[in-house]
Amino acid sequence: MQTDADSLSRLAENTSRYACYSRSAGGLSLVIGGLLCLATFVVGATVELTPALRYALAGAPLLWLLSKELLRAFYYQRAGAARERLSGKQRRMHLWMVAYLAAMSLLIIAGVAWTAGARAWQWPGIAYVAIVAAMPLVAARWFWSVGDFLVGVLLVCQAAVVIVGLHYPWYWILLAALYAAIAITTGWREHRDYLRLRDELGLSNRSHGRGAEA
Amino acid sequence: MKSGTQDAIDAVLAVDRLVHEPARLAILTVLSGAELVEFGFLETVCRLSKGNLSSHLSKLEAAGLVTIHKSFRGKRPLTRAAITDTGREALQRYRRQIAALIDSVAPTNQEQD
Repeated sequence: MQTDADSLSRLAENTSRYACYSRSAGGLSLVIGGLLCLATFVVGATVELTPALRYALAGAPLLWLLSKELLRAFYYQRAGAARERLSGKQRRMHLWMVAYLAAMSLLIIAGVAWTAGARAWQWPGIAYVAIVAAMPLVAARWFWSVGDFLVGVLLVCQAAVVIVGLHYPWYWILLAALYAAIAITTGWREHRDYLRLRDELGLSNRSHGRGAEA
Repeated sequence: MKSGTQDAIDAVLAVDRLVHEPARLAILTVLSGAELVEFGFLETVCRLSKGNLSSHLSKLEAAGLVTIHKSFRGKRPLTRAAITDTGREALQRYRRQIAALIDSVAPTNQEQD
């Protein structure tokens, strides 16, 4: 067991890096999010939306969140969960991000209720309202980095729009491509960093089961 | 006995023995890097057996340096640990003491060379 000061500092630092994959580091899930984001905007703008396709596109955020949870639980933190310790700056950024989305959601819902009247509370208007209302809650639980925020907000907005049979115009593909490029680059870098970390922590040749008995 | 040597001995004796034990030091160090850590991760990274880790965690918990959260995931028991503010302070104090001790001893070694 290493006990010298440098080794201890490295151990604490490596634990922090590993714990990042519980919140702020998405790794491959950010890559998946970026690809889904680009794909949904391209399909939404270029293909005629059948009901089945609409529901499939509206399900993209759920698919992304599912991939995020599965990768965290069964890949990045399979040696046992370690929850990231957030700095004050990270907490404030997260809080502002959620507050901003909550304010935008309220404004959008109020605007829809004002313009659409009773139709806002009937299908599919109610689905649009529900998706918009869920956005800050999803952000509070899952958006811990700028990459999550960019990809997540676009995916949720896109889901809300396609569920009512509309779609974003083609030029939104450019924004989606930009955000996807940021997310894919960041996610791939985080994944490579994880592979190095796995070797440093000696996790690659250990097959620990999930959970922990004491 | 030289006063410098006496000071060094006093410094060694003043080190917190609860934290100084290598396994417990590793546990506290790992816990300091995260908010909450599962037993399995501690076991893997600290390279301790379940019984050994459990015993050290109990001692650290009794001293108020860590908190242990026990629950179930399905039918499997799930144990998670977190360092307390007292534990964090104890670890920092220990690291300062050791750093100061090494600094005070290093010139003596050079003189002998």
